[in-house]
Amino acid sequence: MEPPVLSARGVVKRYGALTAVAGLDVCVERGECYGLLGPNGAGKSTLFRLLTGLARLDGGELEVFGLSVREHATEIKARLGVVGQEDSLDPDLDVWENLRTYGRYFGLRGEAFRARCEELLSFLELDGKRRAPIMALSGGMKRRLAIVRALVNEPEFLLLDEPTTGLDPQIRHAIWNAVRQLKARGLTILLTTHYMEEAAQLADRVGVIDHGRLIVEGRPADVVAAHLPPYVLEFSIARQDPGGWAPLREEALLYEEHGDRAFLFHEDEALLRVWGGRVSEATLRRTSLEDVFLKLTGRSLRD
Amino acid sequence: MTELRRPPPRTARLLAVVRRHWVVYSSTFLANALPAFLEPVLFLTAVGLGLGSYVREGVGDLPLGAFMGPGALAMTAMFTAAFETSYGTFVRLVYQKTYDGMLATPLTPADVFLGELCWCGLKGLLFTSVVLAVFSAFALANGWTAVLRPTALLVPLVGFACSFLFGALGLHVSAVTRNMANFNFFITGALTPMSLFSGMVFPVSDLPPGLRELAYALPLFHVTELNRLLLYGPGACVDFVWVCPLYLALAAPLLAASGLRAITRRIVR
Repeated sequence: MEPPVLSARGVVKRYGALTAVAGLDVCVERGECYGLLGPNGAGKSTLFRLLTGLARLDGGELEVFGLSVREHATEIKARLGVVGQEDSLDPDLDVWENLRTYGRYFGLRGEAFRARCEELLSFLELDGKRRAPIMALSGGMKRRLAIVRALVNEPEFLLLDEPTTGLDPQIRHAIWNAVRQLKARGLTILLTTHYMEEAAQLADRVGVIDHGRLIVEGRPADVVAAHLPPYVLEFSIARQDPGGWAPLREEALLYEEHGDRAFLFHEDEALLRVWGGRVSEATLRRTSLEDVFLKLTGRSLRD
Repeated sequence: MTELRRPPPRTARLLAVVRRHWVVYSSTFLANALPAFLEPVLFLTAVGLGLGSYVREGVGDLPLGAFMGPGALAMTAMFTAAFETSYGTFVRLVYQKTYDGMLATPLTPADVFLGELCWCGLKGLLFTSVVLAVFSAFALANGWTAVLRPTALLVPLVGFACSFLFGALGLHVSAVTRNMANFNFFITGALTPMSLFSGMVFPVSDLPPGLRELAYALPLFHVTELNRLLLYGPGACVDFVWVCPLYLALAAPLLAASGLRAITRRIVR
């Protein structure tokens, strides 16, 4: 049987007294898009560093394509595409030379490689930018170029570390669209993100990690269903008549409070609509991955 | 099933790194190369001819300007490499994140930094060739050509070794530097004084005992002396000139190995 594309079993990574990854178990199967969610410092980036050989494994087993990262980093990286959190494009080279030079690191050159670069540039709508210096590109263009660069070696497995952080909605949707097309072509993808909507849009399965450990895993809809009732009524506490809504707290299946916002969860949508009439400026909606994320990882700020 | 992509062999990976530096370098060729090559020319003119006209007796059989040639050639190769792996490497490492991108490919840290040292060597070879040509014209104009040996054509190879060695030293410094200003300790604090006491302007044998032995231990002394051997033959050199190639052949790979280890420890944690 074919090994999973990524298999982490009890992965441990320590930095001095800090344990960044504390026994992580994750498995990514061929062809799937796996979304890794977690607050800052949860261990997502450390996992990426371990996968690209920038950090040494302290414990457990981490394999890509069935090869251990301990002995086969170079073989693994030949078949991997990596889009880091920081673009790490080569600012000393222009767009085209970035791709040519990167290709050489994989031993790629020649007419077929050229054609592939052209095709990828137009796939991410960067055709006109071949001779542009990196410094002249906008943040969105840099990120798209980083994706193009990660694809020049026709990877079997693409690592996307927060691919749309800090980008405007147009670019974000363009990148989502590109990722969906790549997925449709059968590429296996590991995605980290802070945007729950991004995970819900792109990922076949999500895993929530916190304090270096996987705490929840499953299809986005299943994860939501397993942890929260399907509907939520959300409103500002400060704008309510004190005492007017207090009894609802007891009647809700689950009550959560984040700062000034109150969240009443229930499976009965009609009942929540009635309650909505008793508080002012309430919003009734379906529960989302974000509600689950906040419930599981708490509300305190991480950095 | 399509064939799996394999990483390219080590030599191809090293060449890809060298090529990367060459492409960057050649795109700003004038700004990079002109000052680096003007410096020894101006130095030879000002000190060799200016000061040399007061120092009529010269050094041994050589006029001062001719005596200084080997040291000026060594200094060129030393500084070009030392700047490359101190300021250059630090900027790529800390500010540009160039290595993050490179290391996400089949390149290993050893490929990246051995490639960088090979690039230093190549740059040293090129610079030394150019300065050698200028120096030869200089020698011709001053009527010193009679003393030049044909082995002078091998001097650029010493330039390669010299730049490789000082590139490796620079990697050690970059591996521990947190603030770019600290490179002043390396360049102005260590290399510039070294260039004054390595037999460029006056023979090391003229130094007082103690200081003299210290100078014999410096790598730049051995590069200078080897250049002198190739330019003027054994008569112009210290008695133990045969030690110099041996010194470089041992020191360059040893420093490269420990330099690679040091910079890798900084990157892979």
